[in-house]
Amino acid sequence: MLRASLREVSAALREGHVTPTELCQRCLALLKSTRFLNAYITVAEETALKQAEESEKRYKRGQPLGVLDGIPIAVKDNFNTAGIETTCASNMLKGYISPYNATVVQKLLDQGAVLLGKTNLDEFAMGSGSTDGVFGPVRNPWSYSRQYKEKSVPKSLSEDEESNWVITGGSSGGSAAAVSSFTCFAALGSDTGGSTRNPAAHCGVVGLKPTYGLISRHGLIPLVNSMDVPGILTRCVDDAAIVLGSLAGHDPKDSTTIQDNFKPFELPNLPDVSKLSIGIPKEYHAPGLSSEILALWSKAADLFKNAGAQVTEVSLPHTRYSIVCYHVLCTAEVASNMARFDGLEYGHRSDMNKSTESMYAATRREGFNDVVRGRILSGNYFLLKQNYENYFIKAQKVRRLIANDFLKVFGSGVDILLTPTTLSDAVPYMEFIKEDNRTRSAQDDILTQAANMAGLPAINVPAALSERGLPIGLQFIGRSFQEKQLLTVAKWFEKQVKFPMIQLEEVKRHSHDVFQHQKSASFS
Amino acid sequence: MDPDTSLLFQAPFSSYCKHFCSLEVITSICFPRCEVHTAQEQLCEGVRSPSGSWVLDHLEQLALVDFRDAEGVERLRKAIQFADQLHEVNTDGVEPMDSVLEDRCLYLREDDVTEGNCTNELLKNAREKVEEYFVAPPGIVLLIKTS
Repeated sequence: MLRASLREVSAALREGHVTPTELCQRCLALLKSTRFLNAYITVAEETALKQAEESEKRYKRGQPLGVLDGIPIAVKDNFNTAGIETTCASNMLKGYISPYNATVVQKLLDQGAVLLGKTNLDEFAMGSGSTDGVFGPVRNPWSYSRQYKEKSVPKSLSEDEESNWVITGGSSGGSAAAVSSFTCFAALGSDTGGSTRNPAAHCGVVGLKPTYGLISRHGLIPLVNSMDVPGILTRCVDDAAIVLGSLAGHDPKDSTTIQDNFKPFELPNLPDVSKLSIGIPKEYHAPGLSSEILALWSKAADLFKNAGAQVTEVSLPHTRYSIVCYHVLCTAEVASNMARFDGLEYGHRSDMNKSTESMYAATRREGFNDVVRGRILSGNYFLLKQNYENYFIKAQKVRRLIANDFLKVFGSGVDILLTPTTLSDAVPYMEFIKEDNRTRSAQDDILTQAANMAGLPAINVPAALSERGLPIGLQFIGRSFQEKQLLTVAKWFEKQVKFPMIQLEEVKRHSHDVFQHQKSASFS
Repeated sequence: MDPDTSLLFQAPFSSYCKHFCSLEVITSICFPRCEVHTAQEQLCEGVRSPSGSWVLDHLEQLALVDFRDAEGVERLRKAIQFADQLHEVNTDGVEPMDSVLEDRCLYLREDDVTEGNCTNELLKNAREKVEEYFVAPPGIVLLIKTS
């Protein structure tokens, strides 16, 4: 039952094959047994069961609120949730109970969804591994799959299987792991440089980044205001369309949401791609791209060709500067956005009280980790008067060049771009931490970042398993606000590749250091 | 005289004279007005000079984040080096882009009060408060260095 799609389980609820409370309890039980994944920071057990009970009453009356009524979902911990701790995986907001719900959270709750808990992430969504939060790293459920175990060769007989586990990718790793391990049917993430699509690719789930301006950011703790969007993680493309339908639309509380009327859509059962033009950007054949992914990308292009679509190579010449541009713009906006954390009104406050400034500085030193402080410092550097023109304004100009590249390509008749999502499959944690956060982010965001620069919708669809038995995904980038076309193509592709379901094995031994992190997670 | 500045004026001029000093920057160290070299050189000079880097002082004051260890400075230097790649791109005649929605008008709602009166809710999250006030320690302009 937990392996079903959102649509299937919704139908089961409506027909009475299962009740919302049963469903909720089963998800919570599975959650407890997969705690070692560290996907959740906070599990809202009591409120979830209450919500499930309310939903059950509605189903009994024959008046469910919609498709999402009674469906267990998870939300990344950088969305504000009223009455539930919102930490952003940072010491700065540990213990912070938000007084309001983010708009997207409110919309889901209004539809009757059951909020199981808040998922783990990199601190303040800065990172590409979900390894830098204060609650510890998230483990990829595929590390415990039969598919991975069969392919991994233990280096020595005494090697602990625990040290072999792979990362989820980031920064919405917790959400991706939660969906991938069947503890919920959909999860919210955020996407600023690929933070939804990257973990989706590594965890074998669908990760949708909608067009900038389609979904409200009110209540999403901002990283980069001009690029952030809430992301949607589900197990299949149809489910993503359902969740998108309930979230998209103008929000008076977020003036960067467009005012056009949004009509929720259903995807055709038998999508047809023969009339489409698919573009293959040659610059996405980036250095470091694994040969496996290259081969898969090529096979995918052939799939479309054989179906009658027009597949052409295109060029986005400024692609290689997108990561540099992002580095400058991101750190600059972060420097500004993190300025609100001073300990006065909310969040951590230092005991230092010699002066306001020293209190602020001490609070921020204690509350932020190295990554965040490093970005704040870099950002302020780029915004210094003598550097403003050379770095910040320059980066904004390069951003326009990148956005124009896409406009040109779409203007020439291409409907959808097909690219890889990541350079390789998920790496083991021990290997990942050898490089620092900035280097890793620069490496891992290279294929996903440009879509955020240009504000375009993009989606990761799990495509195949690598030689190591881990998921690889491919990315589709569409035109602004053309989510229906994007998702239609994604659905067609999903049907073609028939990505295998994860075969989770029961973990017999739990490593002791995993339980250390559980002390900080709270059950409300 | 500030011990740092005294060092400055004793050492050869050339090894320090690579900084641009804006009149608005209030620091305890004064540097003579000089040419500006690349941003990276600027920072590196600051790092190498024994008088300490006014750039880092200034940054710490602005960012209210201290990052004085060698690792922090190295991180910043690498970040600047990385960002310098931007200068390879020709952006003549290109307008900076603030937002991808620049062709649209931002939504402005009516100036009507629709919510509020939640003082208690908001005060709940503050650690130090008195009646309906957030309490802060006394403010001064310069950061007191505790180390």
